[in-house]
This record gives sequence, C-alpha cells and structure tokens, in this order.
Amino acid sequence: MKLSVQAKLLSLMAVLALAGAWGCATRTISRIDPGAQVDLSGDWNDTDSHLVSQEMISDCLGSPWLVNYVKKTSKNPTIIAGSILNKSMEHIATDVFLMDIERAMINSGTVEVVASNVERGEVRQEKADQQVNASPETLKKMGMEEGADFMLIGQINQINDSEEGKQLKYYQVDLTLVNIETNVKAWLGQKKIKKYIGQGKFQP
Amino acid sequence: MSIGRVLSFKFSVRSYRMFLSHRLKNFHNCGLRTANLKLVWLFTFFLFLEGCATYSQKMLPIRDSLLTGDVTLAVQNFKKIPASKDDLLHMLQEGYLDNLSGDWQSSNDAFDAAEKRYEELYTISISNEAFSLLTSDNSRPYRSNEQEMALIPYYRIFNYVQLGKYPDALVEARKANDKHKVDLSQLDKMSEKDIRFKAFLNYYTGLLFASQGESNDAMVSFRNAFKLYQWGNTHFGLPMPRWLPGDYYRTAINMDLKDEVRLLPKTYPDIASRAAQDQRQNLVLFLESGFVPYREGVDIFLPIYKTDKNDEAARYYRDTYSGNIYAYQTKPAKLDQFLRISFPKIAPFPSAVASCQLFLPNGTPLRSENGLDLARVTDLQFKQDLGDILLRTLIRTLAKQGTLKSAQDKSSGLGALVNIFNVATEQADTRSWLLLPERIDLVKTSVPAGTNQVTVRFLDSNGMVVEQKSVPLNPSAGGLQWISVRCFK
Repeated sequence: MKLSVQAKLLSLMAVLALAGAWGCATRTISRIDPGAQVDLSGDWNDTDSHLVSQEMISDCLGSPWLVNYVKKTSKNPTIIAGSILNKSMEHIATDVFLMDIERAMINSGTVEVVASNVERGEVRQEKADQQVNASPETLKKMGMEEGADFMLIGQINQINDSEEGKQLKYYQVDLTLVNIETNVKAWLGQKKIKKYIGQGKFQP
Repeated sequence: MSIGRVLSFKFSVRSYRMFLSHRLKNFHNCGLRTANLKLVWLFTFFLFLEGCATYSQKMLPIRDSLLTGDVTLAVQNFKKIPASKDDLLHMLQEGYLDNLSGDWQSSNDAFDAAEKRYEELYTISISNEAFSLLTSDNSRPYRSNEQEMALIPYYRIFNYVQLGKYPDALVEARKANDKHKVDLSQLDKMSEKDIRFKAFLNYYTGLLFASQGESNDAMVSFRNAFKLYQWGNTHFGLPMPRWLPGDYYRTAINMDLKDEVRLLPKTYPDIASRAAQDQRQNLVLFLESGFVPYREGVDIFLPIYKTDKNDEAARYYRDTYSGNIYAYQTKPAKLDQFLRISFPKIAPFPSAVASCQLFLPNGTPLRSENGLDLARVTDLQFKQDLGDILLRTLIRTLAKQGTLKSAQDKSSGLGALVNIFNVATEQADTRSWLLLPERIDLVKTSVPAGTNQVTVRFLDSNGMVVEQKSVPLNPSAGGLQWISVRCFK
C-alpha cells in the first residue's frame, strides 16, 4: 500500500509528538524491599549508609581492643556515637548513618550504647518531670546514668572525577574509637566506596 | 513552480498585520481575488499568532512586580505560568523567587531538583531534537549553562546560612568548586566569561571556608580567585575586590605557605597590616542590583510569491499599462508561502545602580566592590551560544521548507496547511534565567558587638541614591554574618 504525502506527513508529526511525549511519561510508584540496592543518581544513598555501617562496625567489634577491654575490666564496653563530619560534596544525612552504626553495635550484643547528647537532654527532661509527678515506686533516680567508655567519631570525605558523561565518585569513611578517659585511640576503621556513573550522550 | 520574486521584510507581527491590511485595502483594485483570499485566511491566523507570547514576554509581569518590590505578587504571577514538572528553567526561577521570599528550604529543594535535572539533560533526546527541527528550539528542554548553574551554590549557601546549617553550606561550597574547576596552568585558554564567574565563585567560597575554619579549602579558593582576578584585570580590566589579597595572604600565613607569604608583599607592600586589620571583619554583604540582559525574539517574515515565468512581472506591466508608470497599481503575483524565521537577540535591562555604599551605625561610609558583572557574563554567554542558535535556525528553516515542498507537490491545500504549521510553530527561544541580578557587589567590614543594623545605599553613576535599605544584623552573632541585599531598580 502506498501512502499519500499527506498521510506520511501526518504520520511523521504523530510519531514526533509521541516521541516528545515519551520523555514525560506519567510517574509510577511501587513498593520495593527496603534492603534492595537501588542506585539512581550515583549519590551517597541508604545502601551506602547501611553497607558501610555494617562492615565498619563488624570490623570494629572483631578487633583486638574489645577482647583486651573485656579481659581487663570483665565487662562489655559502653560506647557513645559522637559526630560524623560530612566533608563530602553531597548532602549526606549523617544522622541516618549514625543510627545505622548504633543499630549495628547494639545488635552485635558485645557492646552497650548510651544515648547521644541530644537524646540525653530529652531523657533528663523526662526524669526531672518524674521527680515531681511520678509515684515513688516508679520514679527513676537522677545521677544513675552510665558513662560511656568510648566515643565513636568520624568523617566522610569525597573525591570526584568526571569527563564527558563519565563520573567517578570516591567516598572514604573514617571512624575512630577514642577512649574517653585516656584519649587513646582504640580502633581506626576505614571504608572506601568507588562508584562509576556513566551517562549516554544520546537517547532515542 | 519557480519563485520569481522574493520580498523580504523584517518586522514584528504587528507591522505585518499593517502590511496585510494595506494589501486588503487594495483587494478590489488589483483584482487578484484568489491570491488575497489566502491572505485573508492567513491574516486571521496571524491575529491568533500574536497571542503566542515568548518566554521573556510571559515573565514580564513577574519582573514588573519585582521592580515595584512586591515579591509576593511576583510569586503569585509566577505560579500562573504553566510549566512542566521537569522544566529546569522553571525550577531555577522558582528557587530564586523562594530565596527572595525568605523560604529557604523550598528554595533549596527547587535548586536541588534543578541540579539533578541539569545532569539528566546531559543526555540529548534525538526525538526531541528532530521534533525541534519541525517546530522551534522551544520544544527542546531548557539546558541552562555553566554560569547559570554556578549561581545555584551561590544562592544555596545563603539559604543554608539562613537556616543555620553551616555544614550544608560548606557542602555547597565544595560542590561549587568541584563542578566549576579551575586549572591555574590553563588561564590563557579560559574564556573571559569563565574567568569572571569563576573568580567570583572562588572568592565567595573562600570567604565561607575561611569563616568556618576550613583553611585548606579556603586557601585553594583564595588562590584561585586571586589568580583569576589578577589575570582578568590584566587582560580585560576585571577589578579585584580590595580585601582579596589580604584574605589570601592571611590564609597563606595560617597554612605556613612560605612562597606565597614571601611573594605577595612584593606586589602589595602593606598587605601584612591589611591582612591583620581585616582579620577582625565579621560582616560580609552581597549587594545585588538590576536584572540580567534577557533574550528577545526577532521575527523575519518573508512572503514568497510564485510566478510561472521569471519575466512574468515585466510582461504583465508592459501588457497592462503599456509602459505608463503612473497607471501601475500592484504586482500580479500569487502568494506561494510565508517564510518565518525566528531567533533570539540579547536585550539589556539597564539598571540605575552603578555602585553601592555601606553606612555603619557611626556614619562611616564604606565603598563596595564589584564582585560579578553578570550582565557582561550573560552577554558573553549569548555570544558563545549564538553560533549554535543560528545553525539550528538554518537547519530548521531548510527542514521546514522540505516538508512544505513535499506537501505543495501533493496539493495546494495541504501545502497551505503545512505552511501555517511551519509559521505558527516558529518562535524564538527566549528562555533564560532572567530574574538574576545585573551585578553583585560586595562589602566586608567589622561591626562592633551589639550592632543591630547597618544601612546600604545603591547609587547611580552620579552618586545619587537609587535605593536605601536598612539591613538588620544579629547583635549576638559571634562569627561572620553573611547577608544578601537585593535592589531591583
């Protein structure tokens, strides 16, 4: 069948209009497994946060300092998660990373974790309120908090390299466990993540 | 068909209507009823066409609202402009208007989306490009450019500082330096545009790094800014902010960089005392004024007539009027098609502001320095883009002529239809981030503790006050206060 010029032109316009609309297809939403590794932009994401915290804490708790401490004191150490400095080029939710670290430590069962500076403030407020309003049987005493033996601090650094649609992202997470009483560094951990992000110049 | 004569005109749609009206007045005299029926049809169509405003025309109410200082009205007017969710330019304007409204988080959200979209747009859609060849550049997504994107971290830093999120402001500064890298060994290969905006951006990030104790990053930024301003000053008279050498020198001392500490006093003999004096500075003001030049559409209409033979006009004149020139009324040509070619040109939006002054509470005046001449940068960017724009215009014109010719060969009705489509879709791409200021000046000083207000004056070239603004300060702020002041005049 031979198409007329008119039909050809109309077909071409229709195809182009459809192609134009292709790029703005409607948004779809679906629920996925929270543990699934999904990389969209190549930026630091929940998977990085989870993997790094798991691996680093596993390394930390498998190091000799823990055995030495337990041998010396006959008790599990108490740790407080300090601050993680974000020295990268991305807005990384360091709070999420800290929570991942705390969870990994608590779930290991080998260390105890005390509330952070901000959390303590809220707990103390509640305790102060109890002193006035709670019954004597349920009242929690002031000054009975457990002091942390170690503080975990760290920072995230980033180096980028890019050229013509190719991008290399290198993240380095450094964690340090410091003995609060002596300032001695008990453990130093480092985890590196390298990502290659390729982007094509053209699409249909 | 052969085209015997082409009449070319360069004028607006309005004057085109006048031209058509004139032709219609002579409708009965010339006796070319068939040709002019087509004109009547097209005349009606062009009346409709005039209603299709370009982007810069659509943005006029917003700029007008800002000119009166009514940011709320500008935001309201902006919300009336329809835009797709993935329109980068819409995100940029939105982020900027939110910043002006003091909605810092929304501004950052819009700018964040804009940065992500900018990266996505690295990939070019072939179908979009093909479609633009049959319509106009407006059907291509707005891709922005490096100098516009460099202003995102500039505004996001302000937003984060206002939100008290200094670590996030530092992230923006690091990101800015990474995305707009400077290779000091390649200064001679850098364009004037790049030198100008990168010099300012580096000084800006350097000030932030220094204020947050990030000496290493501050050193890199100050060094880049110093070398860029120095190069720009030598080659095209780019003025260097007077505080920069001192900032650079002081950071070099902190970092114990002996070479730089030794070399700088050779150019600036009093640099040591200036650096020590400036160390106490706790206020930096960025004074934005005017609007950047915008893009305006240029329309070229070419009514193209067809004749059966090339000498038809001359023969008609001879046969009809017997050589009597006074009896001649019009040419008996039939309209073949309208050719419309549209492309943008840069149009200045001159600001009255030529300089700024800061008045401390004790009445001491302080002269500002021009940090970034955005009007010049925008002008240079347009010149850089112009080659591509004209090439695309040429290719588009040829493509449209191709489709028209195919249609005309089939039938005159289809030809007219395609001609209308071609003319209607041809529109200059006037999109740009036109709400940006024409210039950014800065002033650095120290204010005594407890100072809760300073005054800024925007002055014209004669030193007359264009606008005066009181700038509230935080009297209890311990560190550097980082403030932006906008004058729209």
